[in-house]
Amino acid sequence: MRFPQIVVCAFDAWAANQLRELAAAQRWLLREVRQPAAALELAREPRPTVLVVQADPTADRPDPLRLVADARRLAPDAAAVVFSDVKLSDGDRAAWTAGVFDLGARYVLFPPLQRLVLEDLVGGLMAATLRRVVGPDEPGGTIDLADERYGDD
Amino acid sequence: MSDPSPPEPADRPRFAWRTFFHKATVPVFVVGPTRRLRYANPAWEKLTGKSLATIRGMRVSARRSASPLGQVLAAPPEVWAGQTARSRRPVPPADAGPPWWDVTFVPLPGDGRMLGVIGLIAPVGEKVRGGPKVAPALADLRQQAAAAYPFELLVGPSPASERLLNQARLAARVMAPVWVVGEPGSGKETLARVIHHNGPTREKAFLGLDCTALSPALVESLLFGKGSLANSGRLGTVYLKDPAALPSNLQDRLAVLFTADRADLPRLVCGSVRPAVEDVRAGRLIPPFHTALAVLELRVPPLRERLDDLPSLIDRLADRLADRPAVAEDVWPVLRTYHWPANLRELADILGQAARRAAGGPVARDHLPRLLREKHLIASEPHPAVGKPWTLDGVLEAVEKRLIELALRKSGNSQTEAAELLGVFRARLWRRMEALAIPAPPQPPKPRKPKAVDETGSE
Repeated sequence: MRFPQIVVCAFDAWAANQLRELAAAQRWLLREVRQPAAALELAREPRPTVLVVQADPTADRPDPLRLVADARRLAPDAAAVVFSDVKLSDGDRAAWTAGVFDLGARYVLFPPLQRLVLEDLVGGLMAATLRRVVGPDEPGGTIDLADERYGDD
Repeated sequence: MSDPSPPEPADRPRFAWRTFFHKATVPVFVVGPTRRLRYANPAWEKLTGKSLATIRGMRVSARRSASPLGQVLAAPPEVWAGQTARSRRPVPPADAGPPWWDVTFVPLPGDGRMLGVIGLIAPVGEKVRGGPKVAPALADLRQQAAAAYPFELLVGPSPASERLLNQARLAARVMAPVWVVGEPGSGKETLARVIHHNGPTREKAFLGLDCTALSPALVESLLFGKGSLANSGRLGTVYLKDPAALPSNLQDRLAVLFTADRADLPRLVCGSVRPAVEDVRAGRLIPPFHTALAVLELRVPPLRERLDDLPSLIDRLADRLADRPAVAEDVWPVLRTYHWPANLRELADILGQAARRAAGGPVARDHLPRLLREKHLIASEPHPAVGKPWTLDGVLEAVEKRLIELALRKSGNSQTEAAELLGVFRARLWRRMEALAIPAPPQPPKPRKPKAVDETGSE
């Protein structure tokens, strides 16, 4: 298995800075890009990936959201987290969150949650991605006649 | 000036296209090459509340200088380049929806020039009660994403696929909660999305939550916290991946939410590797998930049960790759021999690896991983001829011998642990080993007992 990676596609650097310690401790690659197209290329690499995308719900540009939709289509195993620094009303936030989940995001963070839980969220999503790649833990107490690990040497 | 259009053949009856469109109940409009509205049928007039007589010649353009209706009816640039397109537009004069119009634009290319564009409008979505609107860009993306999940994704020549397709069609027609069972990587969430995007709640959002990846607090905050999604009226389907991973108090809240008698409730779809009843029996899941929230249980067949679908599956998975590779004929027997423990996810990975090795050429057998090629080699070798016919006693003894040997290996040659693993007393294991001529393996060293130490610390 190749090294897992966190791909951060954001306007500013705080998200990558916040995740740097986690990535170093777990020996995951941390890749910071500004362009959604570059982030998509990285997300398509055959390695466990969590994609962290910054979006601005008040802006007209849908590029970050297109990245989430494209990642869902082209790299469905990459878990996408969308966060925003923009404060919205409850109704607007619900509408926007629902829309972004519909595109394929695994979680959406708004202030003040985005800074508090980003690390835990990314860690949890990466752990689940790794479980999918490596497979579930070996069941104990059963003997599989066809299991090659216990076959004749 | 002579008419540049070719003369109409004498044997072709005159077609009254205007009457044809006029009687249609679908709102239809025609835009001329100068981007002016040329025609609209009565259904369009009824939908827009405008009369063609007063609005004919209106400028149809995406520029802000055009009227709101003119902006909504403007075809995207690719349509003027000759491609059919579909766009979701907010109903004018609003600049956001819902409700929306899904406008299908059909170009009419002529001899070297564009004659115009025909537009068909399908109104979608109801106004959300007092709620905020969704930006058109997000709505457009959502519509494009939804188009990637037609029923055709499930179509395949194998009986297992046909069964799943019929079950999915049934599930999409009703609002009953669905429990999807399938091995890891078999496509449970994709099935949930297909049901959602073809079901009655397709205009609302699909919320997929991986309960093993998200902390319960995050799931609770999202669904029940301040400005919660559960009561926003925005959700069409909530997909919970492995809900047994959630704590029981949160399972209780979810069960209360999804069993409430409310019209605007989202539908619940759960995905798991086990049927709900097994999780309930094991105490991992509260009973309402089995009794009320698993009304339809759909089983996604593992890939090894639908090997006939391999060509169509690979055809779809190849779309994810940058260069869509061709697949050589000698690849299929190898793929058919493998047992695919990680299902479609593994197939996609292997296809990606092979395509990279093929470097733009067709994927051949040598580009496949060695494991698959070896499995195929072993499977295709002729079996050695059996010297004598097997008797029942002989088969049972061989199985018993094999089990005992495996248990001994698994327990590191500890006979006590092997006996526990096999569920027999140690004495019986000895007797059977003797009877089956299994040599007693060397026993692992016993752990030494710690020497007694008195209160002063001296031995």
